[in-house]
Amino acid sequence: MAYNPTIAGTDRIKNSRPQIQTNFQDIESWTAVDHAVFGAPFEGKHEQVTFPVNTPAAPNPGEIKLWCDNYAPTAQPELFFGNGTSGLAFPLTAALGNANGYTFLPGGLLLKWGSQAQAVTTGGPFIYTFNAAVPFTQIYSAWAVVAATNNPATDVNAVAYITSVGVPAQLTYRIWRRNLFNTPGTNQQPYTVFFLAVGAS
Amino acid sequence: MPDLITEFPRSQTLAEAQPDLDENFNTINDIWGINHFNLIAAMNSGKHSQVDLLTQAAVPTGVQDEIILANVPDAIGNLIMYFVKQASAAPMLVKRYSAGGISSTCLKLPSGIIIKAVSVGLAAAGTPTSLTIPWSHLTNGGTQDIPFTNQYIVMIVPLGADDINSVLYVTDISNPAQFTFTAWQRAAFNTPLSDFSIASTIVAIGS
Repeated sequence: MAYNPTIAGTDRIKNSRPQIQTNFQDIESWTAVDHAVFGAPFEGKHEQVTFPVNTPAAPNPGEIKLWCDNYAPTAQPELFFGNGTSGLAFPLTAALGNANGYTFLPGGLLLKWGSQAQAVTTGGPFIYTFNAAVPFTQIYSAWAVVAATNNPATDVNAVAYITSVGVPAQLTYRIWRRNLFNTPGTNQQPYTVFFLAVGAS
Repeated sequence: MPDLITEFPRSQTLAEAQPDLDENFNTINDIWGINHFNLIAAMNSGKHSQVDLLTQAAVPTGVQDEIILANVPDAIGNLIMYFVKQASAAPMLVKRYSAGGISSTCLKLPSGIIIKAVSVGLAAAGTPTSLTIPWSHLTNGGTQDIPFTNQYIVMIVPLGADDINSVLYVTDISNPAQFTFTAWQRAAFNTPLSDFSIASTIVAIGS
């Protein structure tokens, strides 16, 4: 029997008693979901917090809201964090775990990384495009570091410099010979370049 | 607080049931007031005032279309928050280690992505063509490591206070338990760095 919020005022106790009893049983069952039950140690506190998929209203100013909603870029339900004062809302658990991926940080920042094999014949400029599924609206800081996963047995005669940062998804960079002043890294082996950027979504 | 009274004998009169009814409503209000704004709160009744997560013996099993937060201690009693998303459970972890010239932080985010940041002195005699560093070497034998299953990028740069005659290049990240790098003289083409001892900073991302 479901919780009955409208027990008739004209009822006698012998008539409404089953409804009252059912209501208390329902309250006890409802409380047992995710909470320590009545009379248990730490009663009222949470054993866990379960968030079914839901699309709630935005949090009020002064409130922080957690909720679970479907998130198109990951095609999964994600746990969202909303700040009613700043208006910030982001999927706390969303990430793309691969060689060109991203993750949200608990503060709401977006961290992206990637790698690119670059055959250097001109010194650049070259463009690396981050995974565009979750675009940056602003990039605060970005790094490019030459690696040598394509030619580990030979000298890596190059350094990488980011020359411009574009949103939503691009870094422009150049590769220079590290032993020669002002000389693009022409005719070098293909390099792997690792990229990392922090920004806002 | 007393348990909730759920038995009301049919023979009871309202006057007889009244104390039990009052007690139940007071109990409900008191229990609801833990972690929540209670039933008679002037504002926000029903919303959470905070969320105290009690420790659980095991990570709950995730189900479709739900996210679960849970607090499950590890084998040595550290309390760890888990974000259980369907079939996966990402524990939010931070592990730090600092000794012997190594300072490392391993962080597992709610999304499951792992970030490792390390400052370490690297040294080698002769002119090695490559050096392989197991992550366990940087994390107290692995006790303070959060191991990678997949390693996506490893960025390594020298930190030099004096002569900075070195360029470090990561050459292999295919084994998530380690990374391999080479060291070269920055001013001399095709010349490996010899007998080096340099400080470095390393950032790695994986899952």
